[in-house]
Amino acid sequence: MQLPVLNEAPVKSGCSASSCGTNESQMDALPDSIREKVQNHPCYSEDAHHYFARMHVAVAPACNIQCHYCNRKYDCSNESRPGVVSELLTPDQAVKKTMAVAATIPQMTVLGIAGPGDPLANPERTFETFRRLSQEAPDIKLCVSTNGLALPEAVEELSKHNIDHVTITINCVDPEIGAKIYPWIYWENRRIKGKKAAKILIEQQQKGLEMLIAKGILVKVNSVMIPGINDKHLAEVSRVVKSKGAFLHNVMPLIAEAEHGTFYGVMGQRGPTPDELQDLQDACSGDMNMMRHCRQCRADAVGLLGEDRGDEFTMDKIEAMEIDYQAAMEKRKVIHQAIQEEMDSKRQQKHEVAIKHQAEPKLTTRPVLMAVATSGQGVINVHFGHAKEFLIYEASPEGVRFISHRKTDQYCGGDSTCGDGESVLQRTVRSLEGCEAVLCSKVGYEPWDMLEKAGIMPNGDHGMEPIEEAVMAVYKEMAAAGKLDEKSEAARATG
Amino acid sequence: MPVSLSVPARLFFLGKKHFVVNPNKCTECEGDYPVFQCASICPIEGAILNSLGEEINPPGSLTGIPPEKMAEAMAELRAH
Repeated sequence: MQLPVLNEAPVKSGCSASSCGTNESQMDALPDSIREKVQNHPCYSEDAHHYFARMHVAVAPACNIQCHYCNRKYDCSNESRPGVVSELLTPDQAVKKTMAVAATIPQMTVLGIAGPGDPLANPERTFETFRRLSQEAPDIKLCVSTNGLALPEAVEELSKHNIDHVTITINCVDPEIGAKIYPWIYWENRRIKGKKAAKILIEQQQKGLEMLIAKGILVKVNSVMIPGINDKHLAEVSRVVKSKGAFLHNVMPLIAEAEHGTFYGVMGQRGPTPDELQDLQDACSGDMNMMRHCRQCRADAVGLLGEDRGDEFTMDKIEAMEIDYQAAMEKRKVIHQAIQEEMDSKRQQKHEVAIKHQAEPKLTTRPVLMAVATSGQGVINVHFGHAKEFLIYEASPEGVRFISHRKTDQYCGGDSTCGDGESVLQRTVRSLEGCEAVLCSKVGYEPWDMLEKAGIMPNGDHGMEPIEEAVMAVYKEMAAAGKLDEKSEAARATG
Repeated sequence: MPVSLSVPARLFFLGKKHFVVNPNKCTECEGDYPVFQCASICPIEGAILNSLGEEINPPGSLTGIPPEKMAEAMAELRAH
């Protein structure tokens, strides 16, 4: 087969060394000063999330607003339900836990306070934790996320604690829409409802955003995509927050299940499909750096994004640990340096691959989605049946770009107790809908068959290879085999 | 330590796992605030009663979920 050749110069040129060849929109546009600040932050850098870990400490139980997608399931004085759990920590416990995790998981670089309520509605507990950590564990980056209502009065205090990243959840800039998302806020000793409440919240969020930027603090904006409510509006949100200086926008899908007992869950509000989410992220990315690797993690998560090692660090286990933080810090420094060198060399490698790719005749084939099984380090290193999630990449003539992740139910835990394994396997295969290939270190006979029948080509030939290179290699194989000439039924028509 | 609640400090004590309002001392914030502070921040419907024994935040008033809709959803979940 003869591939059509374009004679023009490559469309995408002048790429930066950090993300070249990946056609990655997330970090390309950032100035070097910001890139330096986020390069080892797993939540802010798609690249870093393969290597560095984060943790949250749940020191902030109270909240000052209600969102229709949220149910904290936190035990309140007059309410006791089965399944309601409290993992609330005191600031002292939070400091101990953070240092225990930092010593045990040296690649943990970031400590965030993200709930379960609003950190800034619990200012004493939140700031006590930050104050102590900036003194006792100065090598850990501190982050906080907030709904923004109490943000303006907290900015001064935040700027004192070496917190260089703040996340504000902004779902709208229009009170009409806000009234459909927030049933009430607690403001100046009163509960306020409806449009009036939404207007106050929006004003506080925007004011807080401006004040943080003026202080030189990096601001990321989170938005929950709620189909039919704010989906059309989020491009406007993206434009507004970017114009005020936010550096990253994270559009997340609504999670709404009736069993969560949330308004949206009970009322049958649906979340977006992967396609709808991707289309909106693409639409917003024209205005703004877009974050796509977010795992919407728990308020007490520990470990790499996509994994949770919280069970290893329950308070009783932590009490029994003896931590020499000085020694841990020295070890951490060496390990961080080694990871940084590895990341730099991978970036260099990507850069070289991209240059080679640009020099080659440009394909004119359609884009293809592929799923990848990885546990970090930016390589394909997980067996199909062991994957807890798949990363979805899009390969096109422009290069390879990261799109999203999809969770699976593991059908095989490595033991022989997978009774309903088959139906879980079927669910896993279904979760890869839209993908045309899946790249793993190995794929077993049974899933191989099932994947093929579902039109997804299993591929175990690229174990331990860098993800982007492997995806491009498979894409080229598909092109050479003539599989990309006609639009397949399964393919997204992104053209 | 109350941090976000502005209930007058003499009116509550720290329970084993959470704050408990002392019913004998509760003044319904009269003289301190124009509205009940506990009932203005508590997100749990039906949790707080006034002196007449009425729910200050009856079912549906905070979440916006009509009680019959909630009952329907819960019955549906129990059936599975």
